[in-house]
Amino acid sequence: MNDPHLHARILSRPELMAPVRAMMCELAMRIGMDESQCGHIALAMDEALTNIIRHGYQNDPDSHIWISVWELENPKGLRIQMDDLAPHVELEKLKGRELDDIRPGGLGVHLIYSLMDTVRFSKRPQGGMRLTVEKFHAQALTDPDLKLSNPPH
Amino acid sequence: MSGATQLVVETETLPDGVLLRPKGDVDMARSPALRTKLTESLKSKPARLVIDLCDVPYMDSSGLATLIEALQTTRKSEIKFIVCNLSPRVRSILEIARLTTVFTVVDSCDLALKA
Repeated sequence: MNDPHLHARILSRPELMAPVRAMMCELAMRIGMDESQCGHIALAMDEALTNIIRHGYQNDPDSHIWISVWELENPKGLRIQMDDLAPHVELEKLKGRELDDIRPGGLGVHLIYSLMDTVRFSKRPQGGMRLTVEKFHAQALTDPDLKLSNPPH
Repeated sequence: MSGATQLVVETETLPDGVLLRPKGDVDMARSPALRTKLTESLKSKPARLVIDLCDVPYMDSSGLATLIEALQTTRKSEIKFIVCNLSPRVRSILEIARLTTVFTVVDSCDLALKA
């Protein structure tokens, strides 16, 4: 894979979520995504960060999260990868919960799958988890030849 | 940076309850402040609790979880719990989470006071 267009490391602090959201929105707008798509990307990344900070790092404020972003050309879109060094989680647990069960918590993974076009969780061989998501430009999604590698749930 | 993360929540006394008006994004960093205000307001067992989201441009699942907790408490205590003035973005997250029919959602404060 080519070098990412953007690569950043942040500390696992909730107060850094707003600047990350703003950065994601700016990148999405740069490639012509509309406000709704920008909002979806920002919310999905917010949910991913929340999960890493709360569940992966148990609210430790000094752990590290790496964010990499690639601009995609064909189809046009963004690929975003988040890496951490939190303990491995069984992938079957990362599927979101049934929404008919009205209770606080557990909505984050469901939102990520709903908002992004492809979603893949994996265990990093060197330790930690990796989330890779893609969001395609709205026009690209009207292309009948486009086949998503991991359709949203 | 922690000072910039504090969520301001205005409180207004209603004839039959309380109206809370959070100001700013409600995310993981800021939802605890909303939870604290909700808990305080619910202690007095008002007949009606209104959450006016006119100044909330953004909310994530932490904010939703906070509202769901409050909803569960109000149901047990037979308190009317009404959410009003949702921005398109906040309405969108409620729709994705299929919560628009779970909460009583109205378009304005006037309607919330009559609901």
